[in-house]
Order: sequence, then C-alpha cells, then structure tokens
Amino acid sequence: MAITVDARLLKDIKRHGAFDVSACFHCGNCTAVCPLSDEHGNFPRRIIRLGQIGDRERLLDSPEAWLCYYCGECSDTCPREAEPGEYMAAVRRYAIASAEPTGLARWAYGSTLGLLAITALFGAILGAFLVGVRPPSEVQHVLFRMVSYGAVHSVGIAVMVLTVLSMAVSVTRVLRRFLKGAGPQPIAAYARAARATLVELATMKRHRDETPTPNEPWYRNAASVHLAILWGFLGLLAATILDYIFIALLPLGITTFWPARIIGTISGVVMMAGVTAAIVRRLAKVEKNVARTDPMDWWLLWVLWILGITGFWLEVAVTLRASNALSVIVLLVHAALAMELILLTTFTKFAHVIYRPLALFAYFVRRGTAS
Amino acid sequence: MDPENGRLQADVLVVGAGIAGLQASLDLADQGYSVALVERQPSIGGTMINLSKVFPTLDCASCITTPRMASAAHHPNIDLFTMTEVQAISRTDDGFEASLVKKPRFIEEDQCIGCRRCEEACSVFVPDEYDHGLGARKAISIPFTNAIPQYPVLDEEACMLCGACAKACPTQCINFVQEPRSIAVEAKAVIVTTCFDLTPMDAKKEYGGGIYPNVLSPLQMERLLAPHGPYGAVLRPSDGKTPDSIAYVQCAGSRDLSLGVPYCSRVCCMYAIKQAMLLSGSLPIADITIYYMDIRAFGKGYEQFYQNARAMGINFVKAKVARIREDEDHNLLLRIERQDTGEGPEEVQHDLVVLSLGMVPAWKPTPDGMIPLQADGDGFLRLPQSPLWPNLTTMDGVFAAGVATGPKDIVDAITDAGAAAMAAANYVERARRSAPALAGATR
Repeated sequence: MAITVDARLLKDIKRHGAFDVSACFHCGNCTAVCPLSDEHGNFPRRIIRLGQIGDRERLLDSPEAWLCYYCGECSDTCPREAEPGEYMAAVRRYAIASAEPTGLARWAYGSTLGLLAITALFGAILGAFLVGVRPPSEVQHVLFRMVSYGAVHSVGIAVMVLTVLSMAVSVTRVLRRFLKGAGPQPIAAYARAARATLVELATMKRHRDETPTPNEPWYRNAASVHLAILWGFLGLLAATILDYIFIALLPLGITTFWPARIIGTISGVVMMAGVTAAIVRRLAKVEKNVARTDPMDWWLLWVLWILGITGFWLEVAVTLRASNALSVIVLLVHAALAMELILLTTFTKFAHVIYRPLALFAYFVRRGTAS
Repeated sequence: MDPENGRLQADVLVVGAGIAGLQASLDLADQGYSVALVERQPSIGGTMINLSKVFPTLDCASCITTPRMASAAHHPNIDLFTMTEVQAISRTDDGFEASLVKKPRFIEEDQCIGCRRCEEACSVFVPDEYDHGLGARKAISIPFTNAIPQYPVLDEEACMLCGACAKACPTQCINFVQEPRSIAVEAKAVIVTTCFDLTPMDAKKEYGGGIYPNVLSPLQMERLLAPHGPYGAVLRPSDGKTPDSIAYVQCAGSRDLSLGVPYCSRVCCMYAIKQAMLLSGSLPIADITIYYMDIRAFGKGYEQFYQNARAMGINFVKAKVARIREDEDHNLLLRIERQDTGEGPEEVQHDLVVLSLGMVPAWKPTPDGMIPLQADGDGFLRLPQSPLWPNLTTMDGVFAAGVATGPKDIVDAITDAGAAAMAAANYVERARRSAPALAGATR
C-alpha cells in the first residue's frame, strides 16, 4: 500500500502536547505494559510509529488513540521517558483539530486566544439571536422579559438541528476511517459491537477493571469522575427534552417538583460533583494523566461548571419568582453557553463524544470478528 | 610493615582486590614496586571468582582467577589486607597517608591452619552470601572453597556463642573478643579499583524481582551453573523442579531512564548469551529465550559467540519485557510486544526468569568519604583526561581502573588495570626523581 508521507505530521502532533516522542526507540514496553492494548487495538507503540514516519492517513484511520484511557502506566515505565500516554492525548487533540474542514477547530486548539475569541464570537451571535428573536409565548415569567421563553426554544431547536447535521457528517467520516481495517460484516456483528460499546460507555468497565487504580477513594478516581459527568450530562439532556414535552402538553403547569425537573436537579448535582472533582484533580495534578492540562481541557470543564452553577441559580430564581436584573443576565449566559457547547461539538474537546464511542465500536467489531 | 604500631610504607596503595586490583598489584609488584592491597571482603577475587565461566572463551572462572589470587597473596612485594576498609586517604608532603580498619574475623590469623574443624563443629546455618542466598553456610566458615586467604570468619550476628568451634579448634585460635584494628599506610600513589553492584532486583517493580522465587539475578544463575553451586544442578528455587523453559530479560536494569540508569551496562548481553549456552549444556531439552532490545556484542570474538548461540538454537526475541506475573505454580507470565510480527502484545510463560540487571558503582565518592574524588553523573569516577589518559582521576597521584570508572567486562578491566599500574609506576618514578633523598627508601 502506498503511503503518503506527511513530513510535518510529528511537528503538528507535538504542537498539541509537550513531550519528546522522538526519544522513543521502539522497545515496545508501552504496548506490552498497557492493560488495554491487545491484537485488536495495538497501541501506543504502533501509533507512535505512524506519527514518526508521517503516515497521517493511517494515523487518523486508527481508533487506538481513542481506546486509551491515559492511566499513565506506559509513561511511568517508559525507558526513554518519551511519555507515550501524553503522546496519545496529543494525537487525540490533533485528530479533532486537524480532521474537520472548516479550520475552526485548528484555531480553537491552536491558541488560548483563538479559543476565547471563538467562544466570545459564538456566544455573542447566539446571545443576539436569543435577545433579538421574539416569538409569541405564553410564559410571562418576569425572568423572561429580555430573553423570551420562546426564543430559547426556537434558537435551541435550530442549534440542535445544525449540530445533528454536523455530527452526522463527522460520524460518517470518522466511522468510515475507523472501520477501514475491519471489512464488511453481517448486521448481527455490528449490533453486538454496538451493544458492547454502549455497555462500556455506560459503565467504563474496562477502565475500572483493567487499568491500575492509584490509592484514591472511589469517588475521586478518573472513572467515577467521568461517569458522574457523563450521566449528569445525559440526565440533564433528558430533563431538557422531557421539560419541553411537558410544557407543550401542560402549559404553565410546571413546578420544581415535576418528575422531569427532579431528574434535572439530581442530574445537575451529579454533573457538578463530577466537574468540580475533575477541576480539582487537574488543579492538584493528582495523577500523570492530569498533570498537563491543555487550554481546551480547561475550556470544557469550566463551560460545564458555569452551565451547572447558572442552571442552579435559575432553578432557584424561577422557584422564588425572583425578578432581579442579575438573574436575567444569568439566564442569557446560561442559554447562550449551553447552545454554544452543543453547536461547537465537532470543533472542541467535546468532539470526544463522537470519537470515543466510534473507536470502541470499531474495536469491538474487530474483536468480535476475530473470536 | 611494622606490626608494633600498625604502620606500613608502600609505593602504591591499591583499593579493592577484584580482578582489576589483583592485576594492577601484580603488574606493579613484578616490576619491584611495593604494594599495599586492601580488600573489604574476607577473600580476594571480587566478582570474577563468583562466576561459573567467562565469555567468550567459556573458561572456568575459578580455574583462571585462583592463580592470580594466589600470586598476589604470596607475592613478596604485596602486603594484603582482607576484611579491611579504608577510612580515609589524605595527601601528605610526599604522597598519601591512608588509615585502614581491619574488622575482626574472631580468629587469630597467625595461628589458624585452615583445617575447617570449626566450620564442621558449628551447628548454625545461615543463608550464604557467596551463593546469593540460594545455599547455606555455617555461622563460622571459610567464605567459599577456594577463598584466599583460607581463614574462617565468625559471623557475629548469627553466632550463638555455644563454643563448639573453640572446642574443635586444634590450635585454639578462636577469639570471641577480637577488636577492630587500625592500620596506617603511607604510599606515593593510589589506585582505586572498587567494585560494582547490580541494580536492585526490585528496581523495576513490574518484574516482581525479590518477590517471585523463580525470578533470579544473573549472579544467582552463575552460582546455579557453577560446578560447586548450591544445588549441584540448575533447579528452580520454588519447587526444585528442573526448568523446561528459561527466559532472559535484557536491559532489566540498564538503558532505562525510569530507573535512573540511562547507560548501557555493556556486559549483560554477553553474560546472558554465555549463561544461555551453559544452560543448554546442563539442560539439553530446555527452551532458552533471550528477550532483548538489541544485542551489543562488541568485543573480540563476541559477535561470533552470539552467532554461535543463535546457531545452537537459543531463541532471540526482539521485545522488551514490560511486566511479569506469577501463576499459582510460580510459573512466570511475561507481557511482551514482539517487534518482528507487529501483532500486538502477548503473554508468554516460562519456568524460570533471569533479570539481566545492570551495573552501578558500589562505591561512590562523597565529600567526607574515603577519598575526595569526583564522580560523573552516572556515579562512576570521573576521568577528566580520558581518552588519552583513561586512568587519571580528578586527584593527582590517584589512579582508577576497572568497574570503578564505568561498566566493563573482565578483559577490559584487566587491560585497564595494567594501564593504571603503568601510570602509577610512572608517577612514583617521577616523584622519586624530584625527591632524590627518598630514592630507594622502599625499593
């Protein structure tokens, strides 16, 4: 097979992580010590090799970077201190930054300033829509004087539609890449792989069972923290959709104690616990995998944290029928930021919600066909 | 030597009586220089006398080391001090003055006839350091069969003071209350030929060294292979079974920044190949596999030695072992990634594993230590004028050779020691010429 050598590949990847992967002399210690690596998902050494020889296409075709949970074993035991774990993280950043056609992600990942500029720009656009669009709405709560309840829903639906379209493009492209090596399979094989993927996403069993757990209480280890954020986020998503349905069915009848609202409150608490723990882990650098934090890592965590805090503020404000100006601004920030997070899915670290499941799916397809 | 006040004058003080120290001492003494040779262990011979055979000739280590040991011990120009440590070496107007402390053996050396009756009478068994814990020795014993000098040592930690040895001794030479003795040596030059240590067995915790009974150090394997070894055969320590498959883990203590040993220890490839060859002689049906990153066979005849091993059917697998697990029968499971197939990681099982540990200096200079030399970042002695003067240390008149200055095999250590002896002889001659009043004082 012909290989197109991208001479700048390693330099480009290095821009996304401070490490010296050129020191690697390919002893294979990292791959052999890795608790997740096997013949169906062979990393990190093979992935380092692809980067070193400049084989960009095969690097992006490999789901392996997204199978890595960065437990840090490889970096701890690397005889060359080439930090394979950090390299895998850099490849993930590189994949998001370089594999979308608009160049927006490259800009967001390229500089903190770019990231903030994009955030401000999209925030301003969404904010303008939220303030400017004034569809008729029956909700006459004092909070919604500036940003009407209907505007949130209209803009929200538009954002959702746009996001679904861009994600569909992204998913198709990534999936085609990841499945290249596996060949066509019977539908049942894909179904089994999809089931295994969902189980792993929901439980992170591979992470918890196979990667070494440092001496940390369960509520603070990486898997629990991620699961809290994941389930909290999914709960909030469900609550938002249910809320919309309830309001459509029963106008004006929503209170804090409606089931959808209760799901939302609990999910919010769970997500905030997870996000706060994740921020603390990164601030305290408790493990190797959080020792280095990219601006994009902070971006995602702080956006989620701000969304959580403003969300609770609004819940209190709605319940108490508060009417201060600050709450109105909080509503605007909350709505704009939430929509921005969704809209920018494929351009930020949030894109891992596409890559990670698809990589697991490709891995389980390969593994399923082998056995 | 003046036994009354414990003072000795010599031309050269040699610190360490391993093969390098012995060679340097003999080279000087044969030229007529007087040598004070100091050894911290009860016997001279260093690591070499502990080996089974040497590469690449497969000569018996005992057979070729003992003549050197005997020559040095009996040489009229060499004063030998065993069980003696150097406390301090300081510069004087015309050379150096060293203060030594001779630790008690708890026997009177001038009366002992080396009959070993004491050893036979003793009823206390302790793990044998010479066999690296695989065998046992008595609490009073001659360190090993061909030790020089042939004096027993009483282990004051293990001895229960039963008196059986004293009763058995035909010359009443056992002295339970012997004290350490101070000795002063004046010398014109010093040669440092201190020893190496292997990197610790548990340095890389993923290998389970020091925990799993069937994971051995290379020196333990030397003893298993030696004709007078602890078991008299190659057996697994856990159950005494004859191993059917033996693995060597190369670079288990070298070329690894995560262990703080970035350099190559130079000898591990060759001793692993040598042991593999010897094993295929003692266990003809056993599978022997060497897991390596790359084979460094650099010396005279070494590449041929390596090719012979391949031709003999020893498996060479290019893979760094990342982790070793143990099953309930103490078999060992090695996680590797074979670089020749590229098919991802796998787990291979072996009965016995030898970790090819690296070399670190056994003595490192410290500001208030034995002698204020300087070391390099790797801990070995700094050689500021290498390569043209490979034996000159950072102190004028102090020379170094062997593994004190970096990892070396036996051949290189001997060559190096000869060069150090020559450099020291030149130095002594120059000193003599510049101070004619002293000429011939000790010659």
